[in-house]
Amino acid sequence: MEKTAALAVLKGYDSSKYYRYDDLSRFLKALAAAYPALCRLESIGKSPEGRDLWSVTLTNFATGADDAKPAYHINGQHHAGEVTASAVALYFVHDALTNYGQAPAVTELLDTRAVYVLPRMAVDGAEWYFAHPQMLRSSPLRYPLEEEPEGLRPEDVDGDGRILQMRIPHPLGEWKISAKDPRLMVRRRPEDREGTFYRIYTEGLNYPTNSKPQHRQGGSGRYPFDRPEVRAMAEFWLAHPNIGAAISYRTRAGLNLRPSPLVADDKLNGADLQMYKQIGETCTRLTGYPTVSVYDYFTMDYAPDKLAVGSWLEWAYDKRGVQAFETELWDFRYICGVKKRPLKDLKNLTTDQQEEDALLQLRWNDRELGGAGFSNWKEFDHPQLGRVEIGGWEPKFCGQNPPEKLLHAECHRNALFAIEHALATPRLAIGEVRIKPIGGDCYHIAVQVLNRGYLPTNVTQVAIAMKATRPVEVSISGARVVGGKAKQDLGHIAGRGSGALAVWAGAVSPSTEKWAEWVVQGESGTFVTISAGHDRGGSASRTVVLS
Amino acid sequence: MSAVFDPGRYRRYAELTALLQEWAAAYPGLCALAEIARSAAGRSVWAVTLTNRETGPDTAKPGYLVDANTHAGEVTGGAAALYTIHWLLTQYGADPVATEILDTRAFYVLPRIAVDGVELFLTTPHAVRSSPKRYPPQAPEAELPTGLYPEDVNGDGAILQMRLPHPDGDWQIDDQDPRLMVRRAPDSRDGKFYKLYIEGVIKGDWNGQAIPPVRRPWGLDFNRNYPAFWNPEGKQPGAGPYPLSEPETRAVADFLLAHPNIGAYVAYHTTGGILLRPPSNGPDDKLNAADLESFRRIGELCTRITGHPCKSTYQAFWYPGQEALVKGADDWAYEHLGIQAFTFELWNPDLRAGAQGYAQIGLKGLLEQTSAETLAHHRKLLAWNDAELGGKGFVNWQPFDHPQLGPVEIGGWEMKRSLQNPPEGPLLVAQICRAAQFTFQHALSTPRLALTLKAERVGDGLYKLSAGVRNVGALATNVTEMARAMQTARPIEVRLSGDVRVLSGQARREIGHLEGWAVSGGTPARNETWVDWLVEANPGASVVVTAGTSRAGEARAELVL
Repeated sequence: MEKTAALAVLKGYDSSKYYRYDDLSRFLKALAAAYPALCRLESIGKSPEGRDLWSVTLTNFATGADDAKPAYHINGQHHAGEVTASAVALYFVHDALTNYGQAPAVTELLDTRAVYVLPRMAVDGAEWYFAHPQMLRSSPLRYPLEEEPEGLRPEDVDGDGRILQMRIPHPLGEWKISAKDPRLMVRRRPEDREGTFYRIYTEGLNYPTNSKPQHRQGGSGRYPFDRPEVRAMAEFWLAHPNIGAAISYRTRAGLNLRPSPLVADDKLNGADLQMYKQIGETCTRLTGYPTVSVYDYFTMDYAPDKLAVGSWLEWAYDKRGVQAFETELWDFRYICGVKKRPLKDLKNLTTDQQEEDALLQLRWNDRELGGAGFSNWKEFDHPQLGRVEIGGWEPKFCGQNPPEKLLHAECHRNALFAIEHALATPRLAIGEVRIKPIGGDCYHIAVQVLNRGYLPTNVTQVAIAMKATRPVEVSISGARVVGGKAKQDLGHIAGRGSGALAVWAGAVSPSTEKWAEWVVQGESGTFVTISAGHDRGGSASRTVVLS
Repeated sequence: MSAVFDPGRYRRYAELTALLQEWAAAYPGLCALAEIARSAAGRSVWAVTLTNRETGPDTAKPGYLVDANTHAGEVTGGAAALYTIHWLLTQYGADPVATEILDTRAFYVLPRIAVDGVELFLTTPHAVRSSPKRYPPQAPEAELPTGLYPEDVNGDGAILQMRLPHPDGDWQIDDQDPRLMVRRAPDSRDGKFYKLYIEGVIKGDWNGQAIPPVRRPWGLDFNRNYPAFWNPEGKQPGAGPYPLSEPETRAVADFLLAHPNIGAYVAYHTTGGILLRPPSNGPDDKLNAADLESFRRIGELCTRITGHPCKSTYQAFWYPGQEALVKGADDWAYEHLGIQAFTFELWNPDLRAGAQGYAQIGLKGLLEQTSAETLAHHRKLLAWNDAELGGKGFVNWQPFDHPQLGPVEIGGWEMKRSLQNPPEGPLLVAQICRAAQFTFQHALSTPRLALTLKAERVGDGLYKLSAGVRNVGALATNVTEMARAMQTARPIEVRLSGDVRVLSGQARREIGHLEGWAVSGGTPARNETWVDWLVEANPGASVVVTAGTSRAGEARAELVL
């Protein structure tokens, strides 16, 4: 694509819109064409339906190749219906490229780091989600069984383009109409004997019921990484050991999730936990989302065989030692004024509290969306069930994803945090170089190697334990090395975030530098080059003259 | 006594010794002074025994122990110990509490354990944990390992902090209070940043490259040198080469073993404003339920008198990711000897400043504070320093040309008489008076035996003797169930003697232990029992019954048939 054509395409980009696959691809190609010095687009695989899985590399190639720089990874949209995720990822790419050279944070980011963005993993599922009224988790492949399951299957029976709820009056019904708002269905209380009661079903058609028991964990696939999309991402990480920190987007709890999904905080490495909390605070300040442990917040049942295993977060931190967060974008209930509660507390809500929460949502919907988020109950003649009423919450762009008019704000604040998180990665630099002639054409050289980032070069202690990162290496060339090994291993270097949390009398700053020394032999005026490199800390070099 | 004693002062060793000798001489019937150890520098570790000798020797009475300055810098405790001795001696006969304590109990005080360390703390800018001897052990002439050693480099009399501007610094200046250093946020990129170090000099073989780590030559910690939960240096910094390796800790242990009458014990420390009880190695379910109840009841007593809460060491200090901080003398006294032992952390600057300290929310709570909460906490401490300490606790940053590091600024908290201890004067006196009042009530809650003796003539020359044995103390005669388990509190022994022939019942019997009225879960306490004998005797014969146990003293009753 020509640069001018690309820029024309980009004029059509609107951060308050959800894009289908073709539009997404068009914008990504236009961004790569318009900013070739900062952006590279490649396909890292194909989905079962033949769509490309796009990967965007962002860095200023003039200051070095992406793989020689510390890297950050943005993983947009694992789950088909969580389309906000890819909207944020696309916004980030657009924002970084269009603000480079103007916004100092973005400029520093692309000059000193590489950012890899996978805007949409669940490409087939997302397309299906846009095109059909049904909800869907990740991929439209039938899973776990090849044949159609039996029972009530969600269908848009009244043809209004959405799958809502059906309510059917029934003397044994569990629900009744709220006295406070006739649109709202509330639980029938034990003492409710008089009145009209309802049963509620998902809008759909009935097939002979034979529901299959779910095995232990729905959605895990047949073996790890059996889905091509997931496998492509894993291969991408293995090919990019410079990734030290990462974020994955999903919806819809309005939370920044940190490890562990599996254990309580006291089982986490203390240093890693401190870093997670510190960066987590930055996230909370910029996005408003509390930073919480998955284990603390989402576990319903702490029995070891009931924990949610096999998530991206577990793989990223526990297995690769990457400082990863999983951001749950958008919290419709919270926006409406409902208090945030850990999942395990939700089941303890009283019927009254549930009604209050639901009323807050209805009122917000009336005030902010002109009522568009909720379809009032309408009578419908169901081909199998007879007279029913169909109504309820618009499922996709209210509860699960923000209405489009609120999408931009969601994108913007999350991009702000991603920039800061990416800039917290370690970064090697060469500081002082001391050259001292010691006679006989010999020089003693001492070099200060600095980590200028917030995180240590290893990023996490888990990375060391999992051997997912190597030590910092420093080498010298250009003259004969007569003392010291030409290539030296300096171990890891702390970042500025590793120090004390409060200024008690004993607070001592971490040492963010290490030194290497050599004796070299060469004539005065010889150029020698010192290079430091590390997979997660990037590379730095300096050439000096012997004199 | 010569001069009026001022309790609101920290005293050097010579003054302390002179006071103790003067008091022992002035109150020979109430006070005895003994040396229980000599320090490396030749100072005496003193033990003071306070009891009215006319009502019996100390060893025949229920005993109570207060010690202070296991940690050198925690001099508030030493001041409290001196106040305690002085108050008991001067109030005897005037105040009913003092009188009852000295008449019925033996009150022991070890006013200064770390005698060498306290002297260094009071006379130099240095801080030392316990003892100013090289540790880990090394020959005195051995070369120091390379490191940044705390020193008063600008000669202002205090060792504070140094700040150096650095682009990768982790601190910046608070925009509200320019004295305060606040942690630089991950996304803070513009501004002036600093690295912070202890005020000091680099010793050893420094090549002028990275600033080496902080080292302190005196790492020994007496309170990690006791046998309970002892671990070597690698697991428990300051542990010493083996348990009770130091003359001072050995003397404390020997003193406790030589005084099996000691049933309860308070070790004075700073800071926090909290009474610490067991367990230190886990949550409360580690503790025997009866012992937990008695620790709690005494803890409530302390809170009523001093306002300081009582929590387990584990509740106060444990936080996720750390092994439990198992401590020293009090753990050993409880876990191995079954003594009802507390550590009393005096002085609560956080609470005075309007903030929550670890006494309120635990170290875990402090560490889980957000940066904003931590910052608010520190601002409050500085405001409190200005208001209550007249600004003396914090030295504002002063430029200084450091001989090794070039231009630096030196400033920060002068810990010794601000956050670590109250300044001398009324604040100190208020702390130690209330703490001492608690120990007096605690001492009076120890078990104490009492006896009543009755005789009934049941035939010609035949008498039934009945001895009622009662525990009039609040705590059980064994004090803790741990003492029973560890076999450190002997059962009550009742003896009958006199010019009689015992026909039924043994003249000497063990009757187990008696409960105390404060610790029975609210049900009637089994704190009284009767022992019967059938004896043959001539009218006019006299009989004597005694009842005794190590921790509840001895009671005696006699009558003429």
